[in-house]
Amino acid sequence: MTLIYAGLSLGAVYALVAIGYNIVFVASRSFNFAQAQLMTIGAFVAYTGHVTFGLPAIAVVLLAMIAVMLIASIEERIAVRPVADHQTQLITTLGFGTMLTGIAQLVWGSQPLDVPFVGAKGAITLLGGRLYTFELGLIVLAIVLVVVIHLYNRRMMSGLALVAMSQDDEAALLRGINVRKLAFAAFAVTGLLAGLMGFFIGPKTFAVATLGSALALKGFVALAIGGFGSFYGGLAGGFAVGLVEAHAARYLGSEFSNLSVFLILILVLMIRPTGLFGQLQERTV
Amino acid sequence: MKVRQARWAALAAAVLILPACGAPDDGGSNKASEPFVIMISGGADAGPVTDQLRTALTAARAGVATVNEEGGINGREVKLLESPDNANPTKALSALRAQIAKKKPDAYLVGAGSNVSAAIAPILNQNKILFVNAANIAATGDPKQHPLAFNLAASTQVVVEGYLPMFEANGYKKIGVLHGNSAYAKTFGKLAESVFKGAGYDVAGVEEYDSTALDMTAQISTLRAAGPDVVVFNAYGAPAGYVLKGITKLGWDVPLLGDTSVSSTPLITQEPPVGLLGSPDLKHLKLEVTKSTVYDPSAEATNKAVKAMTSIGQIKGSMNNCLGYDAILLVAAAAKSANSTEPEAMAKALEDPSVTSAAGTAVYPTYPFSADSHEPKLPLDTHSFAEPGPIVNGQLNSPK
Repeated sequence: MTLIYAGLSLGAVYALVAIGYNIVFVASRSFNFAQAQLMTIGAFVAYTGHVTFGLPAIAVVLLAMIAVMLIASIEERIAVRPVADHQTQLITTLGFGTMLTGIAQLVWGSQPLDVPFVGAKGAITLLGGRLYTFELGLIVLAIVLVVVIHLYNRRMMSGLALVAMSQDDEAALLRGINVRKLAFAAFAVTGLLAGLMGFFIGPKTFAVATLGSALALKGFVALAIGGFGSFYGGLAGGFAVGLVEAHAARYLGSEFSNLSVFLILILVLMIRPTGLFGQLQERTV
Repeated sequence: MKVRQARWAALAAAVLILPACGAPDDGGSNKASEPFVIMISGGADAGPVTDQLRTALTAARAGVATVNEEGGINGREVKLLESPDNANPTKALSALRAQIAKKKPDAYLVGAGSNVSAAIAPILNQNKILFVNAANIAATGDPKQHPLAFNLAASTQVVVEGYLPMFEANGYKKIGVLHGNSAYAKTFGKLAESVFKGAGYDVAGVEEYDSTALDMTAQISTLRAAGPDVVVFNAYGAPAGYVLKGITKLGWDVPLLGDTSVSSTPLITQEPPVGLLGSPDLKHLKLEVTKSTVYDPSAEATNKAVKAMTSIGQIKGSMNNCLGYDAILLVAAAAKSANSTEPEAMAKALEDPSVTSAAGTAVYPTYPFSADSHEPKLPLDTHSFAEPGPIVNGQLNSPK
C-alpha cells in the first residue's frame, strides 16, 4: 500500500501540472510550457512566506497564489499575446519558463530548500500503508481541483464561455464572448492555482530551481495519456504515470521506470490517439 | 624568365620560413617576464552544480593570491583566466580553442563538472598544456593517455574503501547500497559492490535511482526487503533529501552512511529553516568526510586556505569543493622543484611525492602521484565519519 501511496502522490504532482496545461489549452488551444516553472516559483514563494517572513499558513497560500498569478499575467502579456500562432507560443512559453528557472536560481540559489508543511510533520499509517500528510494533501488537492474545475466549466457562465472558446473562438466572439479577456483570465487563474500547487508540492519535492524541468515532461505525458482538454483525463494520466513509475522502479529497477512510463504512453496513443478521455473533433477538409 | 622564377622561389621560401620566425608559444622559459596563465572553467550558473563551480572558482582565486604573495610561479605572476562556460562542455571547449588560437595558457584547471574534463582533455593533451583536474575522469588519471593531466579528487575506490573500517568497528555484515545514475554514482555503486564483497561482506542489495526522480520509496522498499544491517548511499542535492525522507516515511531504523557527496549537500549540513539538521530524518545518518572538512586548530595549511578563501568569497558545501586551491599550489610547487614552467618538467615533478607533500595543500596534505598513475593514491584514513552538523566555511565544528 505504501508504494501505491507513493505512486499516487507522485502522480498527483504530475496531475497538477497537467491541470495547469489544460486550463490554458481549453481557453486558447495553446500550451503553457512554463506551467511547471510557475509551480516551482509557487514553492519558492511558499518557502519565503513560511521561513523568511514567518507568515501564517493562510497568508502564505495567498501570497504564493497572488505572486504567481502576477507572473503568469506578465507571461501572457509578453510571451503569449504578441505571438500570433500557437506553434510559436510553444517556444515563447518555453523561453519564459527557462527565464523563470534562471531567476529562481538567482534569487533563491541552486540548492534545495525545505518547505515546511502546515499539517502534521511525520508520516502516518493509512489502510496499512505509510505516507506523509502532505502527500495525502497532494492527492486530495488534485482530485478536488479537477472536480471543481469540471463543475465550473459545466455550471458557470464563464466556464461555459471557456468551453465555447475552446471549440470555436470565432463563433464565441460572435456570441459576444470577450475572447481576449477570457484567455488572459485563464492565464491568471492558472497562475493562481500554480501558486496554490506550489504550496503543496514544496514539502514533497523541496523548492529547487531545477524542479520545473523535472515536472514539465511528466506533466505533459500525463496530459497526453489522459487526453488534451480533459481534466479527468489529466488526473487519470497523472496517477497512471506516478503508479507506473513507482511500481516499475520497485519491481523492474529504476532503469525501467521512465521506460515503462513512455511505453504506456505509446500504447495508449496507439489504441486511442486522443488519449484516454480525449474527444475526437470533426474537421472539414 | 629566370628572374621571375627566382622571385617566386624567394616568395615561396618566405612563406615557409616566416611563420617559423614568429615567437613560439611553447610555454617555455622565454616567457619569464610574462604572467603564468592558468585557465579555469568557470561561470555563475551551472544548474545543480552552481555552488560547486562558484566555490571552485573562489578556491582557485585564493590559491592564486597565496602563490602570488609568495612570489608567483618561478617569479612569474600567476593570472587566472576564467572561461565563462558554466560547466557546459561545449562552451568550455569553444573557449579553450579560442584561447589557444589567441595565446596558449600555461595550465588548465577544472574545478567542477566531469563532462567538461572529458571534453577538453584531448585538446589539452594535443596542445601539451598541463591539466589539473578536480573533476576526475579515468582518462586524466592515466599518464599513458594523458601524460600532462592529473586528477585531484580522491578516487571512488578511496571513497568506497573508506567505509570498511566503519563496518568493522560497528560489526555490520550485510550491506545495502543506494546510488544515483550519474557517471560517478554508477561507478560508486559498482565499486561499492565489488569492494565490499571482496572484503568479505554480504552485499544484500544494490539499488540505483534516477537523479531526476522525486520519490525514492520504491528503491528504499526494495532495499528494506533485503534486510541490510546498514545502508551506504550516494546523493547530492534534493535526492539526498528524498532518500532520507523516504526512509523516515517507512519507519525504517537502519543506520545510514552518506558518502562525500551527501556531506557536500547544504540541505543536510544546514540548520532549519534552510536545511534538515536536527530533524528526525537525520537521526541514523553519519557522513563520510575528508579530514580537512572537520575543523582542526592545528591544521595550519587548511586554516590558512580557509582564511584566504573566505576573505574573497564564500565556501559553499564542504572542503571537497576547494580542490582548486590545492591545484594552484601544486602547480607552483612543481614549477619550483623543476625550476621550469615547461609542462613536461612540471608533470615530472608532480610525480615526485616529496614535491606534492611540501606544496602546502589544504584539502589533502599530499597528492601521491606516480609515473604509473596520475590519480592520487590517498591513504585509507583519508576519510572519516562524522555526525551531521552545520558546515560553516566548508568545515564541521568551524569556529566561524
